[in-house]
Amino acid sequence: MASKISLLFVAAALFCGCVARTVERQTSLPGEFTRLKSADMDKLKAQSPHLKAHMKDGSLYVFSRWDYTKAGSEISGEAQLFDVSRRAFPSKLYTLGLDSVALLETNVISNSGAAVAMTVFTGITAAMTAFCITNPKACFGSCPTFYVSDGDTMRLQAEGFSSSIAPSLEAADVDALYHGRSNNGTVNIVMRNEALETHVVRYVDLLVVPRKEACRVFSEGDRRFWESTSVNPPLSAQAPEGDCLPLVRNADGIERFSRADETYLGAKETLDLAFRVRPDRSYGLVIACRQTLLPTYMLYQAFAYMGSDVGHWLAQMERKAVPKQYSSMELLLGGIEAMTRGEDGQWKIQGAIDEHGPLATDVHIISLSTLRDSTLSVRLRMTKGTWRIDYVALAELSQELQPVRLRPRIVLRNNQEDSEALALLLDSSKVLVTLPGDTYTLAYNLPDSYPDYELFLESRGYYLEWIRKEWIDEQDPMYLAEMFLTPESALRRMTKEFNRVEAQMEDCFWRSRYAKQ
Amino acid sequence: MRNNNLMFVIAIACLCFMHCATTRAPSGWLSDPDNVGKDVYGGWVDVTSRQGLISGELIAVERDSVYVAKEHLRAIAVADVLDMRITVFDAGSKIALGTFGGTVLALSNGLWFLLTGPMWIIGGSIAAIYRSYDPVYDFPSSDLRSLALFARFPQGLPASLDRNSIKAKVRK
Repeated sequence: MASKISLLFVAAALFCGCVARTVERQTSLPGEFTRLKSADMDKLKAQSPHLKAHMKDGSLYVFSRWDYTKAGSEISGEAQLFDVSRRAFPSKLYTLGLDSVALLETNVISNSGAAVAMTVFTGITAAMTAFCITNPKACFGSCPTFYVSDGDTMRLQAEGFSSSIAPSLEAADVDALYHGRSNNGTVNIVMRNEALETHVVRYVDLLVVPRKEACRVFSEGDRRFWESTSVNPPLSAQAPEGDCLPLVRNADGIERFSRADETYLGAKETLDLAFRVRPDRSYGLVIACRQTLLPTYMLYQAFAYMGSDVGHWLAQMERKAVPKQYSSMELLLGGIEAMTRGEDGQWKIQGAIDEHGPLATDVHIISLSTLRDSTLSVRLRMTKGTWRIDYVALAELSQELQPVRLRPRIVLRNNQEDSEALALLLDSSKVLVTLPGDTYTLAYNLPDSYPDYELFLESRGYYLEWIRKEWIDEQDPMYLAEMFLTPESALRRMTKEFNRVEAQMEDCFWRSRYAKQ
Repeated sequence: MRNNNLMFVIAIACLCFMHCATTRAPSGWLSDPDNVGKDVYGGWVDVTSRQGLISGELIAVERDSVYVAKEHLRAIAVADVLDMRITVFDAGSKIALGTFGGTVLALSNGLWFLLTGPMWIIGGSIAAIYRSYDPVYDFPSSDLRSLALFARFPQGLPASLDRNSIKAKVRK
């Protein structure tokens, strides 16, 4: 299919380039003609296959091959003679003295500007088609995106309920708005649907936790909020490729990530970090991260294998007739496991981060058991090529806090107040449905009882992917069964194909973001 | 949003005011661009003059007269010429066909058709209009003397020519 479409475009490009020719006619008096430089004459011979010699008596010689001789005083070559009434005589070799010629005419053939435009259009359309054919699983997807001001610009800070790809998977999701800033006691959150998806949003609430000066608050899981009096970067960070400390010591968007393994997509890798600690204090490991596109690719590949039966499979999933969508694959790819080295020298798992989503970097904390040494060794274990880690730090925990839940006060759509959308978001028995390109601004008023707050976003809902034709061309029940029943084997088989597209996926993904014009 | 709508309206308005160049040349009379170099006749000319509309092969353009042949040679005084259009070759309709084909192919772009579809329809239409003007030269927008090079006798009528013997090129 792809090769046929490619051939069609090549044919179209050739068609456009070849069919729209234009002609530039030039006439010269013999004297002007003889003054042409040799290089210009050669160029003219190449561009104008025929030379017409209009004679003073009205006859015409049409040279099909021509040259000039005797320092330009004669033209010779194979030509056909036409008399003044344009009766033709057989072609033969002629030599004409330029003194008998009234005018010499050349016709330079070139491509029309219209053909150039058509070739450009064909190129753009072909590129778009090639993009859709070769990377149908790199199209922007994954749930509502939330933009919050960082004090300067509106910044993507959260994506809601990424795992909830069907009504039965509706879930709530808490995301830290780590860089979020209020403006005069108001927080504006812009919620966008930037994918070919239908978003069903039950609510979007702001969870705010009072924050003392120089303190930060981190969330553990989705429900525990820890106040931290100091947050310290690692002393060292060692990845398989070498020192990665510069990449992970600040929450600056510069991420450490790796390419997927070249033999098995489920292969694991580890990052080893060291921190200075004060014994007998409580600590938590802070990790800011997001997924790469490998899990998204696997989800879309599952849709592709379902093919035209995707509706049936999703309906079965709703009826609980099949296991949750690609859950076994999800388990194999897994999250980021955080381990500390115990007194016995063995690595002990302290917790894991497995929140889905390739869009927004989320900040998590894993509280650690009480430490006794002055140095803490941490190992992060994850599937190679699955996680992008922006920041790792050790936070000294002082107390657990309770957040205050804020509901949106105003909802704007296209800068107009949308009271209907607000009512839907305030009534948990109802939902707000958004379509590609929809943008809502939700405004929240912070309580004025405290000078500063740490901001978290809790959203609940689910979303429905719009199944694209390119996906369902790969329908294959056997491969689908393999993904569910022997995911390890599926990961091995798909390794080569994923390696082929991996390098371009991130770029393709962000470029395919859907925005209403 | 508002700007995009405005651009769309402007593009449509431009298309409404633009139109393809027309000629009265009989079908098949004009040469293809690739064969113009060996065509021994003049271009097709439509002259609007005080004597009315006169069309045919452009035989010659001289200082005081324009010579046009159809069944026979006619001389039109330059002073009587109101406007004149010379068509040198057949521009064909392949750009229009290409626009149609491109629009159909753009359907393979899925939702991106919202971008590539208008690009083909609007851009392709403009390209087709532009293409139709490739072989066309108009007077008075072009100097009359410069149009002589598209005549059968760009050097002017030969002095010894029997004017009664001149007939227009016969359609292929």
